[in-house]
Amino acid sequence: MKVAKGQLWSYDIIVAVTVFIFTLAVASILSMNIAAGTGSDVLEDLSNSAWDFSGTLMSPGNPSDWNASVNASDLGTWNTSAITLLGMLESFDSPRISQSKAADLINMSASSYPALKAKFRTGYDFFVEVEEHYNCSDPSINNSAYYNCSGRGIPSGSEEWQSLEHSARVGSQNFTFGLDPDRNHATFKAVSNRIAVHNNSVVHVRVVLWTNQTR
Amino acid sequence: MTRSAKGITFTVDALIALALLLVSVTFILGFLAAPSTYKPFGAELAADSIDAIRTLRLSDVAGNPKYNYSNLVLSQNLTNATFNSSLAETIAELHVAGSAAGNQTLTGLAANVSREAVGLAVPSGFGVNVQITSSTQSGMDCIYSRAGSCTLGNSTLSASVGRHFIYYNNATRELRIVIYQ
Repeated sequence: MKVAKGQLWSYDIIVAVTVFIFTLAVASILSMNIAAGTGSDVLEDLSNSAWDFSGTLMSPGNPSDWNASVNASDLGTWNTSAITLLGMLESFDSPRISQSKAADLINMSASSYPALKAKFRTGYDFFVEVEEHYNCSDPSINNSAYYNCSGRGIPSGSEEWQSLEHSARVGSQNFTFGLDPDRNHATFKAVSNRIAVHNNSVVHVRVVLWTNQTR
Repeated sequence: MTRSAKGITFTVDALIALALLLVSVTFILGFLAAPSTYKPFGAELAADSIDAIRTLRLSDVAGNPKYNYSNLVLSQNLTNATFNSSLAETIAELHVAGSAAGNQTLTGLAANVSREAVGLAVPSGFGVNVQITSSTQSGMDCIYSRAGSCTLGNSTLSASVGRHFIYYNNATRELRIVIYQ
């Protein structure tokens, strides 16, 4: 009788251990699949790339006067090996954005986004927007020659009017270039936030790297 | 036979427990690993902000309606005009002079210049503190805090710090910007 009871107990243990190992294996597989499904590896790589991208952008580039030889609408003048890095600051020791480089980057993106993307040497799509914080309802802002919300066609009381975040300006253009991730159904995106000086004002530089890949 | 029947019942119990366990684990893992497609970060924000306010001078923002308080300081010669102070020097000078004299107008101006120079430029979602070496006690004085207090709570996930050293009133002081999430 004692032998029979002992055998029954061993059988229970074997079942319990089997159940435990099986559960552990299933949980591990599920965990790995879910991690892959949420694209944590893609996000990690996107974040690192966004960091690198913003670092390049927040430099003068190489050569530091690369804008001197560029005609944005003529691909041959900027899609050359002579320009190795595209940055938008005036110099390494200054956080000031060069107006000329900013205008060139905006026009180069409009001229040929794929060529600019290749020039930045990123496998992901990018979007850069430079924002300023001001209130269009403040008469001193609206009446100023630079901000002039009404003069730029922002309807009074509209969502853009009431927002305190506005695109900075380069000439008559909004200071944005690249492809907007929201309009292009991005599945993953990483944002690197930087601060710079543009037109004697402290601005927020938002660098977004994004992709449509699912994992 | 009786013992055998009991054994079979136990095995079925274990299988039911296994099924319940699998369902629970699947649910919990699925809940914990909710898709996240947006990963913002701002590790350079504090250093960038320090760079910006040590570069911009009062004369640079003269007449710019975004910088009302800086323009007030400039128009009323509230800082040492000889050196055409940078915004960083302006903030430090106003706060140190205000603290020493117990003049809350000056310390309030230092807070407002900090807010319009740094507080408004840093995107929402980040906490912003501007601090300076205290001239009246050990440690740092809080000049401006977006949250209302320069003390970082236990819920702070990450913080970046930018430093700039300013010589004023026979002492070198550290102006510090802390940006955190």
